[in-house]
Amino acid sequence: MHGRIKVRTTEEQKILKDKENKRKICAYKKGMAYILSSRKKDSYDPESFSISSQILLLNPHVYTLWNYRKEVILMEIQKCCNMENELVKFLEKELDFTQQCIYNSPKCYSTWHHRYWILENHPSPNWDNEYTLCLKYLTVDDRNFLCWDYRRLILNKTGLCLEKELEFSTDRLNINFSNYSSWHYRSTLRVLNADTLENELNLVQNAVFTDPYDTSAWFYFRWILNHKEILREKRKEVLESLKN
Amino acid sequence: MGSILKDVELKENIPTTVIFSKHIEFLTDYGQQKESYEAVMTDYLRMSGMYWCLTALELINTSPFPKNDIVEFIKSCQDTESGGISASNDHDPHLLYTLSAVQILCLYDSLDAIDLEGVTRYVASLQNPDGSFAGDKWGEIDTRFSFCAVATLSLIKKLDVINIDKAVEFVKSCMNFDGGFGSRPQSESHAGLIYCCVAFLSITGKLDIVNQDNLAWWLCERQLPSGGLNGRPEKLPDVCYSWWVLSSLAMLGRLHWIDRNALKKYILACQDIETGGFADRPGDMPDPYHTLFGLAALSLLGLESIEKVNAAFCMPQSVIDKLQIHIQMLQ
Repeated sequence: MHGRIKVRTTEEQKILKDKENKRKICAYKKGMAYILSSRKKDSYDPESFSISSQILLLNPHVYTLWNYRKEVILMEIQKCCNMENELVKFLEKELDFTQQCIYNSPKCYSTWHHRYWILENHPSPNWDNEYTLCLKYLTVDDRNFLCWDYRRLILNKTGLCLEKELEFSTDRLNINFSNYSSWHYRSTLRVLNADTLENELNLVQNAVFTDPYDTSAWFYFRWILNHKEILREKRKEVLESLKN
Repeated sequence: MGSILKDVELKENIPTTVIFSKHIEFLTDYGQQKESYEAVMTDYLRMSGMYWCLTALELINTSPFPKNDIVEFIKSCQDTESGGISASNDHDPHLLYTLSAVQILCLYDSLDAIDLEGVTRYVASLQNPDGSFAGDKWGEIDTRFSFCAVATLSLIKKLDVINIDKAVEFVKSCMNFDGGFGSRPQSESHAGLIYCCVAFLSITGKLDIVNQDNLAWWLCERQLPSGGLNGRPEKLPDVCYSWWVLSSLAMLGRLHWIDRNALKKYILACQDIETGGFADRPGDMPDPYHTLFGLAALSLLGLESIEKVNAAFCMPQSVIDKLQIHIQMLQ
């Protein structure tokens, strides 16, 4: 339970809440029992699939239900081996569904993994679309490490254009210098050399001067300053300038 | 563009001692209410929930629940085919819950109750050629699972069934410019994942590969003016990071890089004086997860009224000693 503020309730509110919770427990249990019985039959039951959607939309952490959906997808793949259109339609619907779940709970490991798993089993995955989707999610929360991790998986598929990625990182930093995720990302992108060091040093110096109390840039600053290509004199000069 | 410091302010009337009797009440109630809304809705992690509650209770020298019921429940969650253990009945086996189950059985000296060969087979089956581990048969890769794998196997004395060198190689490939670790290669450093990787290296005796002071600096920079620790730069403090950060620093031999008194004050302030239990931040809802990690962190800070905790396993040191398991700790 993270960030849930304790709220005081009156006796009346508590009774209402308990009643509502009892209803939810009952529906959840009934739904789970239905799904489990249809899962044992090893066949696709649309009713059961739809109940699992309702539960996952509210609680995407119920990992067993994602497993159940993967089993259904594998059945559909077998069934549709000569009808790719049908299969693609089914998978696209499932992708839309994960998008809704990610929108509701952007920090659920199971949902992100499920989405990647669908694409891995998709006859014609649109990786570029995923790339755009990540940008959209990172605009909402530029520190969501699950989204950054997902983006890295996608780039492994599409291939990475170094300049484009560097620009992406710079853009994110220009919006917010304290975006540690972006500093980290830079460290994974660039093979630092004598030509590029100066530019990186300027960027990060600018960041720490803009807001010296923000801790993010300092880690990158220290890393750059420790680079073997930075001459002793240069390091001394930079460190001196910090004293002012 | 400037940032506002993300932290909380501690109020005047905060608890300054551990309210043990309230915590026992809180954890015992939690364990008994199997039909409450919270319990039903978190059924998907029940095995870990039990580990949090039972370990927290052991750390304060209490075991109110009948051992047999717990052991029987764990037995009923083992999948006969794969050998893995699920979070609860009617859920699927997963490495996360396999570790929690094995940890509980160690607390109760009842490892023989389950099919240990099955557990061994399950964990070994999840290692990939690159050394990484999947959480279950569906293939999600994460350094959390590398930790779960070696912690489980170490507790049942079967570490030799996996390729340790490859497993270490994978964890090493997740090391970052700041000395920290993320969930996969090139993933951002995160205190929870740093704990997983440092504990993994401590259990396998390969801590020498870390950049000790670089990593310890990043970790001690997690402390905020309130005394609390966050999990990444520019994030709010949270009691669970008191554990992830502090245990990592303990394994790295740099526990003294933290202002212990300030941290202790913050953790104590996160207790709920009405219901018992610890929350992530003062004034939030308490839960067993933060209660275990709050108590475990206080144990590392040297509070004598709490049992000594093992930094890699987050279990009472006496249990680890009895199993004759030794972890590596740097000086």
